[in-house]
Amino acid sequence: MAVINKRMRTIIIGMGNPILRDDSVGPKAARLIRERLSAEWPQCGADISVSEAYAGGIRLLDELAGYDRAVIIDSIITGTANAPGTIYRLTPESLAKTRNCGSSHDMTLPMALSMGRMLGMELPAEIHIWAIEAQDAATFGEELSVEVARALPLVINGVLSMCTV
Amino acid sequence: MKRISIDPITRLEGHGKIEIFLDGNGDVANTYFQVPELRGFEQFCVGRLAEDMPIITNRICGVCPEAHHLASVKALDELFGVVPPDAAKKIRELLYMAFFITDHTTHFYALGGPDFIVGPDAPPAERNILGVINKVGLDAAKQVIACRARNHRVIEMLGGRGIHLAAGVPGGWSKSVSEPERAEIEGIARENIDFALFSLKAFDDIVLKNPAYLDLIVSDIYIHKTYYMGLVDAQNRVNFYDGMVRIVDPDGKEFVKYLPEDYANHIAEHVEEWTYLKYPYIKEVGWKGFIDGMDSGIYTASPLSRLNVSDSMPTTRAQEHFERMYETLGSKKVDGRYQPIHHRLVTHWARLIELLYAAEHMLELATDPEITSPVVRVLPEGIVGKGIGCVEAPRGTLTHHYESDGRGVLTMVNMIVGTTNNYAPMTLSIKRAAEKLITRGTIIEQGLLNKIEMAFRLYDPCLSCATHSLPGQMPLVVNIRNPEGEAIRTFSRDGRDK
Repeated sequence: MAVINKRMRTIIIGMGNPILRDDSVGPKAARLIRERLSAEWPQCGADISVSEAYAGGIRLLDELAGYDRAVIIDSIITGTANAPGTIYRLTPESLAKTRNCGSSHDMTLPMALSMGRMLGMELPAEIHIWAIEAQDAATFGEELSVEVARALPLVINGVLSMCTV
Repeated sequence: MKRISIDPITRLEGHGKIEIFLDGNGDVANTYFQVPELRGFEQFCVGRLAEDMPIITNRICGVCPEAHHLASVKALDELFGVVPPDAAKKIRELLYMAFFITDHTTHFYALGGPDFIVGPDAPPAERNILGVINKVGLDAAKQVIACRARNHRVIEMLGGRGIHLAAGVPGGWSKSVSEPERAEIEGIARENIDFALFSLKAFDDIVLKNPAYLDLIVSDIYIHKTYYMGLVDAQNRVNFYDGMVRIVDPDGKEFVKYLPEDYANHIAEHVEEWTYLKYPYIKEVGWKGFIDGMDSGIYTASPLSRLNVSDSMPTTRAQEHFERMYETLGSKKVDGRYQPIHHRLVTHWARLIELLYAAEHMLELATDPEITSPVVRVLPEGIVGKGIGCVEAPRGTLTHHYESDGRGVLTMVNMIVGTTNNYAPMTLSIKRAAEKLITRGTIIEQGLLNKIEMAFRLYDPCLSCATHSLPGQMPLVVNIRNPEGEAIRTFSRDGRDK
């Protein structure tokens, strides 16, 4: 069994709307990660928190405050030819390069982070984003598309290996 | 016909796209406001238990779950034929005031603020929350964050959870308020009043005292004379949680006042072939196309609309600012009531007056002796089978309509969400702004595009608000197309000219 790295306080956030098909991949991942952490690494409770969220911007900032490291899991629509289920590893900086001024809520994540730091908030030094290319994130439903469902265990294993040493 | 495409709209909640078609002279021929709509909500709900709806509907949207939760529990009160105890209604309202305060604060400082506080012509890179902070100062920004945090605490305290509230149930509320909780909320309400007054002063100092901004507000770019809609109490005053729907005509005369359950008798929806969106309009007046005026059934439901339909504000300080706003804009009183303000940018001011009202009303509720009553629920004993719940969401009147069979299994779900009311006015505003700002093929510049965006941002629209999938590539792109629809030039918001 792996040993948890206790030097860091980590927050794992599964982002997405739990009833909007592939957009629910983040919350689903968070739930499964929470179960596996509790079953396989019960000693990690103090160091790793898992939460579900589905508003970015300022609300996400509140979630991140007070942690050394954050892992955000979310669906993504890149508009490229990449197949649904494709997994991307991103940082807020790489996200900034692709998003520019675009924002789906009150502000972009990079903007929220800049604001938080400007205001002296204690924010994670490390932010890892796992994004999964969605096939359908515009229809209400609790089921993932087959492609995204296949990517889910890979993301869960990846995040768990990252957060446990 | 040339086509200019602005995609996506920055700082708009959800993703939208604006298409501006130019005629052969380079003037605006038509504008289209397209929104990718979420699908299948009704099908998702039909066949489920009605009592699950407050939990399901607050997942529709990450921005205003509280509004959906309350509209839903109100619909269930009716569907199960049960009247909640007064304390439960007051707790619901108390939570709702906290929500309005967070939402209006976010809009003013993060979404609308960059337009005014930083300025419509400021470089795009500065026209954001960081620019706002630079202008209003770090301490003010800390106040904004603190305001949001303390009101989220109230929502969590009363609602059981910070998001995805769980406390609303048919017939009342699932937990009462303890005295220590009440005392904490009272303190928070007092801080909120100070914060609202501070925000109104900032608006006064930065916007109203700046002649350039004032000119922009009163300029005819941003004027539409439509009907207005909002909930009012028995004294025809603003009410976010309950009351009758009042519609006034463009001259300010009451056109109709009806109970929310009668909405289908008064509101119809127009369909256009180029969009999935439906455009609600006043049935008795009729759909006459994208035009304003007395003969067009287009109405607006926004913070400014709520003030326009009301005789007064229910709280003293909000009333003072209400009067000041109407006097400043030169509105005269007819039959004891101010004539409506049609200057759309004044919606930002109206939002701050509502912020103050919400704070004052929160204090009233927190100091109401009944708020700590342990009697917060009446158990339903039967099923009526139909329920319509209506509240004012920050961005417009929100209606939930459910029907069920005798077991409480849903057979029909219909919703008119806040932003939907304003689709037609937003389209009007975009077209007007484009017409005023693009003539004879004038070269499109960044400030110009922003002014067009300002035309709809003031409505605080929340489009497809549940979709927040990380967009991989969202630069603001402007395509100018030749009459054949081919892109002949592309601009992006960061200034790159390809």
